[in-house]
Amino acid sequence: MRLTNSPDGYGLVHWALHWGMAVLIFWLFWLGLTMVELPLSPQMFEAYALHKSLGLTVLVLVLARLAWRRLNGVPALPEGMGRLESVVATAVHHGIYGLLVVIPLSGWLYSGAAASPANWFGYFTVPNLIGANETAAKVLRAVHDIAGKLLMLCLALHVLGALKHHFISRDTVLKRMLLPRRN
Amino acid sequence: MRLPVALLICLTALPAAARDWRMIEEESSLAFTFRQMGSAVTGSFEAFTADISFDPAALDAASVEAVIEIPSVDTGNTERDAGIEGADWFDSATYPTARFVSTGFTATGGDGYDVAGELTIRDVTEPVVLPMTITIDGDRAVATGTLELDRTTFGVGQGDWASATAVGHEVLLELEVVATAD
Repeated sequence: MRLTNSPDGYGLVHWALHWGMAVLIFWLFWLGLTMVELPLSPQMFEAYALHKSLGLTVLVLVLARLAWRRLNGVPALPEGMGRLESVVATAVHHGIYGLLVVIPLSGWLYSGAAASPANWFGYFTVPNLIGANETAAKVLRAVHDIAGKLLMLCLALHVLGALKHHFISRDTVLKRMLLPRRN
Repeated sequence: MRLPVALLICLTALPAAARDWRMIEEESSLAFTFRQMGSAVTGSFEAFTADISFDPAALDAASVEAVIEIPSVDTGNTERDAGIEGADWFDSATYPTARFVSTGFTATGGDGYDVAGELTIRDVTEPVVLPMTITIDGDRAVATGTLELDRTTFGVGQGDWASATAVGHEVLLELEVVATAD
């Protein structure tokens, strides 16, 4: 196993970030969609606290991943992709990364605006980025919500794209992310 | 030399009467801090009144009676404020006010006083001692103090909320009363 990426495969670091974040993101979607339905209760507070802790974790991981990409690059798109296909693939990737910054950041801001500070698994409280403000809270919640829905859409395209590469184009795009590079 | 003599006569001639003060609402505050999922959250009661009689020279006659309007609670989150007013917390529909009635003042040195009294929240009345610093400058008095309470003593946070997991039991009250002589 190699830690770094190469022009034709992902290293262990990128592979672990990709799949670790995939698990966290689906957990966050599930929590986010169910916790808002809970009545005001300790269970609701616990669900929100876990959602915030996981979201902050994703924010740190996505920044680490962007830095890692910049440091050692990523495998190229396979040859033979059409121009439109390449543009869509790149746009979806950029969209996912952008949303993975916007969503936790808007959530963090929303916590401050709603005067409910976030902390990381009870270990430490992160500072509120803005003070209590009901109008800002409404706007940030809408941003968080819409960006979350957009991410779902992008991830659906991402998965469909990976399956298309594997079953229709029969290239290595899906396989190289399923298994990290060995040499 | 005339003034001190006149003052002395006044002081000895007057009975040990306390001086009445009128609270200035805009300058007074009653804030509280509690922990929600491990993070400190601060709020305040915006509406409260205090009838104050106080003279450092006549502590036996000193008294304070404060009434706090529960629906004036503000934690910066209307959803949470509504919860605080709900039946499991302060139940403001049944108990719209909390009340503090002093039972005695004790000087603790300098501007320090221990204000003993009975605090009523919901239907629970408990004796508490409020350590206060009271400074008087002419017709203006400023009293500050903090008090740590266990919310469960007063039945604040019932049912599932009685556990400290989501909302801590300790609540820190921070009081600042600014008053002008009546």
